[in-house]
Amino acid sequence: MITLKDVTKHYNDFTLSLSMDIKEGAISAFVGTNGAGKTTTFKAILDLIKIDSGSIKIFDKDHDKLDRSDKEKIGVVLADATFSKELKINDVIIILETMYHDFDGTFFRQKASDLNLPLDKKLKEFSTGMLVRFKVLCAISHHPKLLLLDEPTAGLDVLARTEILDLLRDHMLKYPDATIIISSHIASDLEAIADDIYLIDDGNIVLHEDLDKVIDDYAIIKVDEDGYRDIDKTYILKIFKDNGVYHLLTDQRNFYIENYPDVVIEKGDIDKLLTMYAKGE
Amino acid sequence: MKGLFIKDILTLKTNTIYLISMLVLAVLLSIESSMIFTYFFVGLLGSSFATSSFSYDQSERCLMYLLCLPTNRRQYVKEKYLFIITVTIGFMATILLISSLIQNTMIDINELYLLLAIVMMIMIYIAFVIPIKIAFPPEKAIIVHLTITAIMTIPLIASNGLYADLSQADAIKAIVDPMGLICISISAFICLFVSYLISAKIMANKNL
Repeated sequence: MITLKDVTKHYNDFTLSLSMDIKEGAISAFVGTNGAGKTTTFKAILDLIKIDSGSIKIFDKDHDKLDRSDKEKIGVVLADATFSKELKINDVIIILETMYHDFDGTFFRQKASDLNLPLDKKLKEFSTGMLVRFKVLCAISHHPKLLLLDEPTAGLDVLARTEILDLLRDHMLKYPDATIIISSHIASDLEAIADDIYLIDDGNIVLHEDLDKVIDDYAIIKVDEDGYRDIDKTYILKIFKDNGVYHLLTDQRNFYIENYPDVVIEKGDIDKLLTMYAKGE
Repeated sequence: MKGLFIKDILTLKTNTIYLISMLVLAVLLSIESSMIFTYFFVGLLGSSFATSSFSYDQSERCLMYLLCLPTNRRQYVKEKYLFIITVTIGFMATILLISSLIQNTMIDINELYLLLAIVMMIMIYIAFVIPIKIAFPPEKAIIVHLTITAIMTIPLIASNGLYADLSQADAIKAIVDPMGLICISISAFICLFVSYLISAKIMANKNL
């Protein structure tokens, strides 16, 4: 569905350099710290920035050669961009009806009502949560085959995030073949919906793994100086020392549980992975 | 392109108070000032009003989002030219109609020549302004835009005084003849075409 091959984009103090292959029907989470390159990757995929080298293909076409019908199959949420905030939802409905053949006005109005989004209020009067709900609604109301969601839950409280995730879950149930790429800082949001994760750090993909495998097989082992010296490091991926305690990331949790029953071994999750890849060596 | 056009109309519609103020000012001018000055001024007002759509697109990173919709950079540029030209001509035609109704006069062939010549000059102005609006961020674009407007307005203000002593018919004759109109029309079309190519090129390479 989306293939990025040896893509590079240079800035003064940052270089994006990555390859990815996202299959049709996958729900892929894009995880990384601030400034890791998540938004830059989204922008590159969407041809909002010009890449310096490499290639990006969407629907087997070069990403900068998508025609109108291809773009009608894509829904996008950008963290900090939407329609002019001088417009009202009623205005946006008219625009989207003109732009998308498959725009579902009935669904849009119904969901807007369910989500307490007023149709005749300017977007600038919306709260952060309302604006995000509106953006997600715009992205899914033409029933896209590909959803690109950059930080759709950023800045929201738990309830608002749940509403957004419910909206996405409904979409996934209705269109199981849809491909979704979602980035977020909030690991629990991604764990609730993603099939696999791409961990990005300093412009590079440092890990691509099925989420089930992350949860089942990854672990953080905590040992002191002696424990660190004695432990088998064959399956240790990252090491991070904090206050005299070694944190060791492994993708072979069972091996260490069986061979080191007295050692503290914590189950892996996205947050721990992120910390280990960001701080570990 | 149709969706973008509708988006621009709906966005400008939100600025109705400004639009009405400009229309009232322009109608008053059309009664009090020379025809040349009025048409020029109205054309500049109309095009400035239309080009303000760039500011809406560039605030809150709207442009970035718009380019994720079923359109592309070239379509965006085309739409801007079409929208700005349409709004400017529509604005000028509205003022002409209102002032004709107020003064109970009909436009004659010489005035029509003059009006067409001024429309073409405004098109040349638009041809300069659009690439600037696309190339520069809003705060820089407004400085360059105002500079160009000032350069065009100084001779316009001078002409208002210059032709004040002449009769209207003489003033028109002094400025426009059919050959002059053809020349200025060709110049306007060439300027718009070159301007479009430049804008499309800038837009194609723009990082958002």
